[in-house]
Amino acid sequence: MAKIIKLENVSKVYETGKIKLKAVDNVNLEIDEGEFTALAGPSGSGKTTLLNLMGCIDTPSEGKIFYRDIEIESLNDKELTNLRRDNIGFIFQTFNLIPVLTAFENVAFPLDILKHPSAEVKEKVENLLEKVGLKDYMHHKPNEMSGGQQQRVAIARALIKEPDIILADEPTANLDSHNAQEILELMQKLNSETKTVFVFSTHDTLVMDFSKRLIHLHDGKIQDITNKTSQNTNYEDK
Amino acid sequence: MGFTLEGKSKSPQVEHKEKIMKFLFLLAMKNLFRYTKRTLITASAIAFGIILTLFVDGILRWADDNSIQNLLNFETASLRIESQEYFNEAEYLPLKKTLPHGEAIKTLLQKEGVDYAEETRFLSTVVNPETGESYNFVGIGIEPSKMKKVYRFQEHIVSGAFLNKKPNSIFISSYLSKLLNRKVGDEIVIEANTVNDMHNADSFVISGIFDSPNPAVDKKNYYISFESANRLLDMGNKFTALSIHTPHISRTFKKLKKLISFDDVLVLRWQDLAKDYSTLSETKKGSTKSLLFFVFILAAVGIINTMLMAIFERKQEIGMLRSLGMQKKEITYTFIFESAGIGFIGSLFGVIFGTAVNGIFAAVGIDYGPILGDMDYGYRVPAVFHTQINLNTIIVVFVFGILISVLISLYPALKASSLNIVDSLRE
Repeated sequence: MAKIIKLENVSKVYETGKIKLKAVDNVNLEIDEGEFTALAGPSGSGKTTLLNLMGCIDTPSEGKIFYRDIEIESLNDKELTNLRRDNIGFIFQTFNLIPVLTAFENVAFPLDILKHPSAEVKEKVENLLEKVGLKDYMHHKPNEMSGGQQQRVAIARALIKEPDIILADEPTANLDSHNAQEILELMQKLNSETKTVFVFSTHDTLVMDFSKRLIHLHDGKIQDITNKTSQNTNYEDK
Repeated sequence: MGFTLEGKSKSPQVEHKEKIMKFLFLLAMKNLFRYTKRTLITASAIAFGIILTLFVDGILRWADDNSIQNLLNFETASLRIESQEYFNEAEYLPLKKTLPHGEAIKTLLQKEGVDYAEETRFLSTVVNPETGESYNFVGIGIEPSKMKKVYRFQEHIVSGAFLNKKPNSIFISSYLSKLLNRKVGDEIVIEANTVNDMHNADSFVISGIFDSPNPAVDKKNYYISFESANRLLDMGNKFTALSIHTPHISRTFKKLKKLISFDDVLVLRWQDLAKDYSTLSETKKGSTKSLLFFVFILAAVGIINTMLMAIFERKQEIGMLRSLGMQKKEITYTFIFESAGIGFIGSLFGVIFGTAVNGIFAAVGIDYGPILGDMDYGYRVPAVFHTQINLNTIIVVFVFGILISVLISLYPALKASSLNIVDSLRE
């Protein structure tokens, strides 16, 4: 299987005044095509930082990150933005929809940035909103939708540009268990249908249950990796 | 799922740029009404500045245009010919510095078909013989029939008739008539020094009272016939200036300058003769610029505040947009468009209300009389000021309002685009 993202001895240090905090500590990790992986661990274990590094919105203090075969350190801001725009989708804990746009417009805007012709945009957005169960909410604004519906819009927004990978930061944290279950089922379905890679950061056991690979983090280090399909536990980084 | 750093699209560059710009513009417009109150307050500040600019510019333009007309019609005439020596000492009205080559110049003017009048201006004291009350005024000796052709007093006679050729007839302003408490038919005594510096006095009968729209004339001058002045001042047939009326001032000015080749004779325009007014007119241009600066300050404070607040409130959204692949410059454009939108709303309301206000005051006028009283305010217009609507100014302030809003938004817009993505998302 082709590698989408590869992290080599990656560390991330945050400096607050005189205090240095190592959020990610010497991590080696590979994300392959078709994965449905969760980064699990308590608060402060470095899940979100690792996700940000994989999403090319943060840069490592040490080590190398490869997107396919490109080392991201060699890219300038414009190239990194293009890389994110074309290949990486994001789902946020607080949904982060644009409040002034409708569900349709929120889903369509990454395509607008991607310069797709209008007829194609319309068809794609409508199909995808139908797929995430929001056919009747296309022209609703975020404040007219429930949390679950907003997160579905966010999923559709991440999927619309057919990215290689979708990074979801605590996607169920603001949802009740029923909605969380539905959202995870939807993402699982999309993963198997489109082969889009999903990587979550979470401390929700439900998300961990759904994931095919579970990467446990502690104090910025990978504690263990559980490959659920074979139920093998690797200790790559111990 | 291919990976390119340039982007997946195969569509032409221009089409994509237009599409992005269209999306950014729509997003900006929607954001504009996200905080309707704030947008309207900021736009109102710009509108207020523009209304004020249009209003003051309207008054100044009206005053300027009318002042020039009133200078030409009642004070300086279209052109005046004086000797160089007289012009140098003009404030003392030196009677000895008469116009040389007067007869030759008159012949030339007749040949050119130009209306002219011989004039002698002199310092004098006007006295009410019954009360002894006296005031210093400038007397002007001028041939009545020629005065009619050079100046426009005949349309502004409030009592009696125009200056006539009768000996010792005087034509005064209603201002002077009120000062002296004299009316048509009453007697006034004029005291003046002759050309030989001998004190002389004579009594005159008021033939008519005028009320011109030029307060500088009303508060300073009176008119007697050329013959009466010659007698009072012992001038013989000499005069100090030739006043000219022509509808084609610049053309006639150039022509006369060429034709009158005497070194000691000057052809003068109103700009040379009413120096106080020329200075005032220049200052006026500066005041419009000061007002535009005031609009700039209003727009700057309002827009910077509004934009920085928007950035602060939308940090997470900016982070999201950047993560999803929006370039820095595209974030910058969004905020610039938003600011331009505020500038557009402000400028639009500003020019609409500003023009309406100007329209009202163009018709009604504002009476500054009670404030100004007898004060010399420089403008050659009555104390009831009107405004003038000027399309040029409307366009300039409208464009200025938008441009300045865009310019001011550059700082917050660049600030927004340079936010750290991770920090923004963490907000």
